[in-house]
Amino acid sequence: MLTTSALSAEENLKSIVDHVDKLYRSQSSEAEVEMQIVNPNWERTLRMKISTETMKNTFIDILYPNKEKGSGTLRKGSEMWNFFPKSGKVVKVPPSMMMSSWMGSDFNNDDLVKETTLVDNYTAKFINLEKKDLHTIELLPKKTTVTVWGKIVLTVKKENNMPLTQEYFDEKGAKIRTMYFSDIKKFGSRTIPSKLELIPEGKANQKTTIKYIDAKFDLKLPSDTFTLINLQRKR
Amino acid sequence: MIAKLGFRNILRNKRRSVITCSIMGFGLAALIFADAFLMGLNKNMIESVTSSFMGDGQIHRENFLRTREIEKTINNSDALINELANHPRIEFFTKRVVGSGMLASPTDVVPVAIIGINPLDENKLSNLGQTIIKGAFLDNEVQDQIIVGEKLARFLGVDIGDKVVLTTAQAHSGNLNQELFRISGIFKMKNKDIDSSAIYLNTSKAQSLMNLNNEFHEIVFKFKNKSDVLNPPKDVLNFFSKNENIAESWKTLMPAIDAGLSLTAYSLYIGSFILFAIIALSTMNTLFMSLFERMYEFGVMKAIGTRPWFIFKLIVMEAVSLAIISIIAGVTLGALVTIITNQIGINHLTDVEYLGTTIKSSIRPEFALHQYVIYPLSIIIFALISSIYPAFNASKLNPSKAMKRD
Amino acid sequence: MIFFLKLSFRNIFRQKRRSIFTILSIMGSFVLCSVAIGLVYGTYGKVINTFTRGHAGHISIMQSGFFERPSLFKNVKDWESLSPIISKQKEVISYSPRIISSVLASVGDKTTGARMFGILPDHESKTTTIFDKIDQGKVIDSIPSNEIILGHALSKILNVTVGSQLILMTQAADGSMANDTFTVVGIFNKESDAMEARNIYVHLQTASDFLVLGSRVHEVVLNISHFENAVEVAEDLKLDLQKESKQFEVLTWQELEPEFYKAMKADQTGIWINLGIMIFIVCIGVLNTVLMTILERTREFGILKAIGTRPHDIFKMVVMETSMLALVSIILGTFTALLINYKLSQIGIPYPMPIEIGGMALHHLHGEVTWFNIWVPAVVVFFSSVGVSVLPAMRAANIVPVKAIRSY
Repeated sequence: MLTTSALSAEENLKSIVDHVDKLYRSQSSEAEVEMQIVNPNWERTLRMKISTETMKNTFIDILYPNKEKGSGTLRKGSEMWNFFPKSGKVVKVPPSMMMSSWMGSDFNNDDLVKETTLVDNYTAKFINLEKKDLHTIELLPKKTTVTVWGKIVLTVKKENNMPLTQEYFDEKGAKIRTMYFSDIKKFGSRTIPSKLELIPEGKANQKTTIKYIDAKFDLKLPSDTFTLINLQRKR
Repeated sequence: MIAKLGFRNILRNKRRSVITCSIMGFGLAALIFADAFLMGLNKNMIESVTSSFMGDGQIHRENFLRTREIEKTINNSDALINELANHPRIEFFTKRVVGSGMLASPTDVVPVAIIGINPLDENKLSNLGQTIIKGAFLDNEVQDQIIVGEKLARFLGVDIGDKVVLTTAQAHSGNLNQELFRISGIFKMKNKDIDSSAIYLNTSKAQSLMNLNNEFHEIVFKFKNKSDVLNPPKDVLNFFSKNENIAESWKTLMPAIDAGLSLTAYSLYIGSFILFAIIALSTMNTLFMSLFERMYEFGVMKAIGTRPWFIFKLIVMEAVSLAIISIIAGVTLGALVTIITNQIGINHLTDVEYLGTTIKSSIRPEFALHQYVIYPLSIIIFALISSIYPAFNASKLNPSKAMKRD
Repeated sequence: MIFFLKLSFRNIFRQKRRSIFTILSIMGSFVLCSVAIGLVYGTYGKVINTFTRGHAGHISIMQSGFFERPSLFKNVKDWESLSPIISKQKEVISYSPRIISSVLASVGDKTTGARMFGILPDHESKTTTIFDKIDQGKVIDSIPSNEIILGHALSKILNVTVGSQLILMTQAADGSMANDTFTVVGIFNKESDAMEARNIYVHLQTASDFLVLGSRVHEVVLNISHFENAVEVAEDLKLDLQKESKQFEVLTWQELEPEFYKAMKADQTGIWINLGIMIFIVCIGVLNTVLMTILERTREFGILKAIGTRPHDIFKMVVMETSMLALVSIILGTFTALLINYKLSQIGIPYPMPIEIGGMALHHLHGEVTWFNIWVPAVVVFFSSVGVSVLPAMRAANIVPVKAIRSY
C-alpha cells in the first residue's frame, strides 16, 4: 500500500512538472499577445502576433503601438532579422542581441526559447506539504544544467494543476524574481494561465506582464511563415 | 716640443687650468650621464610595457584585430608553432583565444571580452596572476572556472564561487552556446576597460565554447635578446607574417607608446644639444678670458723673438691639452656616476601603473660606446676651435702694446 | 653703499672685454636654460592639449555613475540651464553637449556594434578637434539631418564610403526600437582609430529624436584655457553644480583618459633629471666665468690693498660687481629668452618625422612663454654667480699685496 502511494507521489510530481513545462510549448503555435513593460525609465505596452515552430523558429509581428506597427522579427535557428517598415529594410541581428533581454522586458531569450526543461534538468521535490490547496515543488538544477538559478520554487493549484507562482532564487538562497500565473483561459484544446507577470525582487517599479489575447496551438502554419520574404511583406 | 711647452704652461697656472678643465670635465660627465640616462629610461619604458600582457609582439590573422571575427583564426598554426619553438631569437610564446559574449548572473547580464589563456604560460608572460585580489588564478586542470575583473564582479553582484552563465556565438554557425562557470578569482588590473569587461578562462574551454577545434586567435611572443625588444627586427616579423597571418611588434600594436618614446627621445636629444651649447659657451668664455689675461706674457714672448706661428700653435696646443685632461677627468666621472646609478637604480618619482604593470621602478643608466667616443671628441674639437681666435690674436700681437700693463 | 655701487659700475666699464665676455657667457647660459625649460613644457603641453582636445576634452560634466557604467538613462537633464554655471568659470573657453548611446549599425547583411555621439557641430568645433581627423568627405551639417561621420575601422567593417547609407538601430529611451536610415558624409583617418574606431557622429537633435531623449544629454565637454587648471576648475564646477542637484559628476582629462595621463606622468622623472643636469651645468658654467673674472684680477686687488683698501671693502666690491654683472645678464637674457621662446611657441623646432598622437600629427617641438622659464634660470644664475663670488672675494680681500702684484 505504502509503496504504491509513494510511487504515485513521485509519478505525480513528475507529471505535474512536465505539465507545467509543456503549457506554453507546442510543435507550432500562433498567438496574439499583449506585453506591458514597466521600469523606472519608461513604460510601454506592445501588441504582437507571435508564430512559433518547435523551439527553433519564431516570427513576431508588431501590431501596436502605431509607431512600431508593421515591424517584424524573424528568428530562424541561430539567425535573427529585424524588419523596419520606416526604412523598408531588413537588418540582420548579430547573435549578441539575442543574448540579452527580449525587447527590453525582464524576460531574456532563454526564458522564451526554453532550451532547458524543468523536468529534465532539475531535481524536483515536494515541500510545504501542509498547504492543502497547493502543491509546492522545489526544483534544484542538476549538476550539468546551465543556469544561473540556484533554486526554483513552483506552486501549482491542486484543483486544476495550473501553476500559480514560480520563484527564482540564486545559490545563496536570495529570491531574485517571481513569475505570477493567472487568468486561466481555454484556447482551443489547451487551458493555460493567460496572464504571466514577471516581477524582479528588490527593484522598485519594475515588471513585465504578458497577456495571451488569443492562441492557437499545433496548427498548420503557412510554409513561408519563417522566411525573409514574409518578413518584408506589407502588413 | 710645443706639446711639452704647452703642457707645462698649463701646469704653471694651476688655478686657471683647473677652472677651465672643470667646465669641460663636468660638462662631459654630464653629457655622458644624460645620454646614459636616456638610454636607461627608454629601456625601462619599453620593458615595462612589454612585460604587460602585450608581450614583445603578437601574431594574428590579417584583419582579426579590426573585425574581431572569431572565424579568423591563425592559419597553419601547427607549423607556425613549430617554427616559433625552433626560432633562435624567440624566447617564449603562448596562444590565446579571443572572443566576446554575455556573462549572466542572477541579477544582471553584461557584455564581456572572452580571453582563453594557458595559465602557466601566461604567468611567464605577464603578471595577470599577480593582480588577483580575491580567490586564485586559473588552474590548468579545472575547466569550468573563470576569473573576472573587480568592476565586473561588482556589476554582476558576484563573488568567489558563484555561478555565472556565459553565452557566446559559435564559429561558422553563429549558434549560441551557453555554459556554466564558477568564479574562481577576481583580478584588478587598474584599467577601467579590462576590469569591467574582460574574463579569462582556459584555452581549451574557450575553444570548445566557440567550436574552434584546436584553433586560436592570437600568439604572444617574447624575444630572446633585449636589443630585439628595444628594436624589433623586421626580418623576424616578416618571417612569421605569411599565410595570411601577420606578426607585429609592440611598436605597431601600441603606436601611442612608440610615439611617446620618440617624443621623449627627441626632446632629450634637443636637451643634450642645449647642454652642449651651454658647455661650449662657458668653455669658450673661459678660454678667451684666460688667454686675454695672458696677453702680457705673450707680448714678452713676441718681444724676445718668438715667431707668431709658434705662439699660435702653442696656444692651440694648450687648449687641446686642457681638453684632454678634462676629458680624462670627465670620462672617469661620467663612468663612475653611470656605474653607481646603474647599480642603485634611479627610482621613478611617482609609481605609475600602466596596463596592469607598475612601470618598473628603477631606471638604470646604460653604457654605450658613442658616449665615450663622440662626446669627448666633440669637446676636444670645440676647445680647439675656440682657441683659434685668441691664438690668432695673440700671434699677431704688438709686443709693446701688450706689455703695457693695465 | 652708493660709493661701492658707483665703483663697481665703473670697474665693470673699465674692463669692457672682460665684462662683455662675462655677461655674454652668463646670459647665454641663462637663455639656453630658459629655452630648454620652455621647450619641455611647451611640447608636453602641446601633446596633452592635442590628445585631450582630440576627443575627451579637458573637463566633462556627466551624471554620476555614467563614466563607470554608461547607460542611456544616466543623463544630464537640461544642459542649457547649466550654461550660466559653466560660463561663470572664467577659464572656460567653450563647451559642447553630447548624447552617447550604443547602437547597431547595419549595411546589407553586415551588422556590427558602434557608439553614437549626438553633437552640435558649431559647439563641438570650438571645443574639440575631432573634425580635423576627417580625411574623407566633410563635417555634418549644422542643421539637424541624417548625416553622419564614421570611424575608419567601422567604415571598413561595413564596407562603406562617403555617400553610403546605413541603418542604425537601438532601444530608445521610451523602450521602443529606434531605427532609421543615415547617410555617411565623412570618414575619419586611419590613425584616429585609436580613439574613433567604432564611433558615429550625428547632429544632437537627430540623436535626441532618434533616442527619444528630449533635452537630455549624457555629457557636456569643456575646453578651458589651460589644461593644467582642469582639476581646480572641476572642483569649482562641482561645488556650483551640487547646489543645483546632487547628481552631477565633473571629470578632468586626467580621469577621463587615465592611461594617457599615466604615460605622461611616467615621463616626469626623465624630464626632471635632465633639467637637473642642465641646471647643474649652468651653475658650473657661471661658476667658471665668475671665478675666472675674479682670479684674473689678483694683481689689481693686490694694488688696491697696497694703497690701503680695507679687506672688507674689497670683498663688498667684488661681490657687488658680480651681482651687477649677473643682473645685467639676467635682464638682457630675459628679453632674449622671451623673444626666442615666443618664436618657438609659434613655430617650434621641426621633428624629422611627425609623431602621431591619436590621429593628430605633431610636427614640431614647441616652446612656451611663461614666468616659470624666466625665474628658474634667473634664480639659478643669480645665486650661483653671487654664491660663487664669495670665496674668491674673501680670498681677494685677504691678499698679501706683494705676492699679488708679482703674479700675472
